[in-house]
Amino acid sequence: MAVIALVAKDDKTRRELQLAVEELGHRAASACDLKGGLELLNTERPRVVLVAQDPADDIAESMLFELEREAPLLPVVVALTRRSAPRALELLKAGVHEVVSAPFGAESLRGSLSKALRWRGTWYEEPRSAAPAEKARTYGAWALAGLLLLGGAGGLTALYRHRRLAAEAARTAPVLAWDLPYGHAAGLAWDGKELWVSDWFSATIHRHEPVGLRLQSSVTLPREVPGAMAFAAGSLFVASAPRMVVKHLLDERLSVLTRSVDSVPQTVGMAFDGLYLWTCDAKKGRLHKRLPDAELTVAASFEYPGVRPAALTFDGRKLWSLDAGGRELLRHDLSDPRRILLRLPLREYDAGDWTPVGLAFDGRRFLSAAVRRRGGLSESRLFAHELAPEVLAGILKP
Amino acid sequence: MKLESPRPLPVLFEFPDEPERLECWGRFLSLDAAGAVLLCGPRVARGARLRLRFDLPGGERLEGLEGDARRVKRDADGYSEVRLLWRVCPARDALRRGLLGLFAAAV
Repeated sequence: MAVIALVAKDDKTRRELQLAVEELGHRAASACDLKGGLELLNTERPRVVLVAQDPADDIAESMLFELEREAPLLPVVVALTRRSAPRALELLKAGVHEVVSAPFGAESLRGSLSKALRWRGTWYEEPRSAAPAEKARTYGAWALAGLLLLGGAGGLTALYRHRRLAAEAARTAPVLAWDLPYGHAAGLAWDGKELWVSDWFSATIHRHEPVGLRLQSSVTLPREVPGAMAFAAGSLFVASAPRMVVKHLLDERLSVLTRSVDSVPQTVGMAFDGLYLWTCDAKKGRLHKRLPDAELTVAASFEYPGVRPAALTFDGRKLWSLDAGGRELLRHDLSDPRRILLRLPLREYDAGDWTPVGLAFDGRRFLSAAVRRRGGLSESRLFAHELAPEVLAGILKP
Repeated sequence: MKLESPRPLPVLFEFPDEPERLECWGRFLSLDAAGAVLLCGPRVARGARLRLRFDLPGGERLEGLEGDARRVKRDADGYSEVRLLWRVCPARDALRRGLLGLFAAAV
């Protein structure tokens, strides 16, 4: 259930939309004007704003203008009381997420609200000398001619074409992934020079060089089942099953400094922002802000705004989480991590066969560790998620 | 090379072969010189011809771009996800130039 802020000047329209929203299982927080709608942002923390207006009105544009400062990523859905395609395009260009037109009902709102709760941008692809789809069209004609002329030989031509297109597709979208030489990766951390990966089954922490991921060294921790990790204040914090957090000195043997009982266990992700140690609990879906003291005192706790957190990292300015349910990276506001500043989809996890377990940021790209079960065997893989230059510049901009 | 825009690119489209249908709107999930993936609420039949009108980031307006719906699937929200292949028309060349300009500005 999500909270939907509903702004409608007309009582009848507001009631209609409220009924439809509630029928869809969401809670509608209503207001009759823009001012009331903006107040709802702070009091109700809606996930979508639904604005009802006549095509001639400009409430939605005013709302977008205000949201630019208050909550720039909050999707706005406009319900036009009269259908007007040109006006719908204007609104979409202004930044509205979706436009629906009367009559309003649960069925007509279901798709647009559901979409708005999980929105994405547009991918632009650079033109190449000959795009595969165009080639497909040309080759298809040749294959047909070949079939007419040579009968069975046409089948071979089609097979050759298919393989060639597949190889071309593989070349244009290189997969940045490395299979790890151990099968039970559970956590990932970046110390500024090397990538650290924990393996719970062998109770070992492995260090890899950043280029090529060659294994540099391994340290076994026989009394631990290491999982999430984070570097903090010159030491390494490791979440260890069943409910411990162990603080290690950064020496050759990773000597133990302290062992603490994890007061908010099921820690699957950990990140240090320079002041607080952030942990996430996948089971309860919560983010915990903790002091890096002996007891790891919980200073604040927040509901996770995504679907299911799997790992955390810090980019030098903001907190990031890997949402295993939504298959995306979320950038959080440090003062209130329920507020999402940016979403980056992780296409590597679209197929659903790999389960992410760790996340790190090396200053120019994200790295994630994942595991896959096949029968009784477990495999681990490390994915590199390259960032578009403008996204990276936005992340690193002070 | 691919770029992701922070906001989806909106588009208006009509069905030249079905003049009785009203003009509709949707957004691109992806856009390239050969085709696009269009997400829209209205139902689109496989093989339908669509005539599109939209503004590229930067303000260049593209009108009269025609594409054939090669693949259509309904997603979990009831939206149509339409794989379009552009027909040969002047607007297609304009789109290609527009995309090149977009990438040139991004590099």
